Amino acid sequence: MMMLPQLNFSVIGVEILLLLVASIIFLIDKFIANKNYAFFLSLITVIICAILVLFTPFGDFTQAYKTDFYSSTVKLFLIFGTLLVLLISYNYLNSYTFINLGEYYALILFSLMGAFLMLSAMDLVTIYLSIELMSFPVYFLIAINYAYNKPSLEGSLKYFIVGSLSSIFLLLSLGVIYYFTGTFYLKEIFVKLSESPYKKELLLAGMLLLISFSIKLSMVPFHMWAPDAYESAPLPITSFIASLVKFAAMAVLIKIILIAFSPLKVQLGQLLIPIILLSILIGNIMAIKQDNIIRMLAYSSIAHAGYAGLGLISADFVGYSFIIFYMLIYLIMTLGIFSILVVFANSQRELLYIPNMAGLSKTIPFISFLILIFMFSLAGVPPTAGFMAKFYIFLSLVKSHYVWVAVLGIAFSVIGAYPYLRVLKVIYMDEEKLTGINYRYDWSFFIPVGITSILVLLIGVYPKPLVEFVQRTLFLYLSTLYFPH
Amino acid sequence: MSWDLLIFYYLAIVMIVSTVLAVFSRNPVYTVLLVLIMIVHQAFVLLTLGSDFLTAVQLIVYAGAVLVLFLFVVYLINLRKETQLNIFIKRFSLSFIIFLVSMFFLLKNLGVLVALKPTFPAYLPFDLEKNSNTWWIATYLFTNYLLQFEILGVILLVAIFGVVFLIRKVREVG
Repeated sequence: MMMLPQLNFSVIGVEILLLLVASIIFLIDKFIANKNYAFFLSLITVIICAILVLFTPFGDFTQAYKTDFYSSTVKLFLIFGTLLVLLISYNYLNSYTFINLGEYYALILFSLMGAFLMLSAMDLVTIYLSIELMSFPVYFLIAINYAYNKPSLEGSLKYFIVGSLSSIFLLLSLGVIYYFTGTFYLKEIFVKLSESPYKKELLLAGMLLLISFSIKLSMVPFHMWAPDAYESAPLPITSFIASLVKFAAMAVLIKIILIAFSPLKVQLGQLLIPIILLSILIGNIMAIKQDNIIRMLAYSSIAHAGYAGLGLISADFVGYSFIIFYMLIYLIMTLGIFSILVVFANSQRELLYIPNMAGLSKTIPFISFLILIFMFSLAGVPPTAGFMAKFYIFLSLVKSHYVWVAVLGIAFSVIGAYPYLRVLKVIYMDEEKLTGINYRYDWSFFIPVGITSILVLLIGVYPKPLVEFVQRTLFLYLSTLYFPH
Repeated sequence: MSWDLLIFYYLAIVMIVSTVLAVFSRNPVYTVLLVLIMIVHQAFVLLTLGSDFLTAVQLIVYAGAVLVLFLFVVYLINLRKETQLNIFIKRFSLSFIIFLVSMFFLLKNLGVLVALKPTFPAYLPFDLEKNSNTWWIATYLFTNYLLQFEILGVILLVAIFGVVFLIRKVREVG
């Protein structure tokens, strides 16, 4: 008879809590008329999750799941993002009441649970399954208002088909890895890989893995789904896909490369060079001619995934920690700009077209100034966090002697400044076009926008504590992984 | 020629012939039935390799569930008109060329594929002489791979929730 594994449920409490609350929302939603209960329930749940993550002991739940420094830190960042997304959703759904449903919040919680499982997973099968668990709710959330917005079905279906393509590539990669190493556990793959004579074949497996993840991160040859899916989804969901899902996918990719594929990480980084440079170039160029600001931000998110990926090229752990830093700042910037766009969508949907924003600085000077902060940050202008994120990423590239990649990346990011500055030019210099719009703000607008704009300015001026925190996390994680007490 | 080989060649030839006929058949119902024949023979190939569990899964999931769904779709939608659509006829020559090119590369590298010796039996962590592979799969599923099994359950739960949620009765625009 086999030994039954010791199940340490205290480790996996966060995920169980999320699962329970999401299921309860699905159960009781029919009987409650005022749908705002779901918002407050999920807000409280996410806050409790943050406390639980802080107090969870580090340990195993079977061989496939492990809580540690890295996963807990990234989980806290994701919880921070989810809180902001929930606030933005509350603001948006109060104007679009026909999608103000309990299931909306429950699906977000399910997606968050998938991301958490993925971050703690120690074997590739769990990673595959939890990527699916993270993506499935998002497919449904994009199509949530298909009855009123027919293109959202198209966007959702595109994302679904491309997402299943990504799964196929991941499974192919798993097959090749299992054929040549005989295991799925990340640490055992590392041991087998170091002494394996089949380095070339395993590099192929790594390439398939990179293809799969670059579909999820919408990097260039696989980016076609992104603008349609982003445009057709409800705005908070767009910000959720652009920031949180990408952050989680990037963090897991770093984990896989750092633990399992570390003997091959330099070659994998070199394989990524064309993909990443093309992402930056094409994302920035295509963003120039978009009139819909959501499509513009979709292309800009392609470019930003490229910038973050530059850290993978540098292939050392400084570069990897700067990826986490970059994705965190991108999360803050995106959620900030989306919380402003939600106000526009609530007041008058035509404001989402860039030419219609003309002269906004005269009617709403304060919000125009906030847009200026976030656009400067996205473009990477110095006193903001976006500049610091780009600075550290390019610094790590130069330190690993990829100067030509860094030079090309900087040149492409100069092109990338145009679409953001164009929005500012329209807002600040053009004549007023739409008049008599009644803007409505409440606390669910001021809290996310306040937090994000203060953070953008604060990190832009004094980034050192956050950078050191992220670096120390990765360092501690690696040292406890290889030299456990 | 031994019985093993004879059975294998029978299964292989029927699989290839039924697949080709399924692709070129004009009636979609025939196509589905030919695919059914192919899948049943595939299940028997798995049986000759000694994996009784996979045979059962193949028969239950593919022949039992997936193909019935296909038949439903075929009966619900009138495919007669769609098969005459331009998009299915116009690109035929192009796709045939792509097919020939990929076949060329496949045949060219056939030697490499044949020379690749399977190494995986060394990795099997269990003894097939002692218990059947269904027993081993069940044992591993509920001990080592418990978490993965549970995650799979949650994925199915989310999928059911989501589908039921999407096909809800939509309220009037307020």
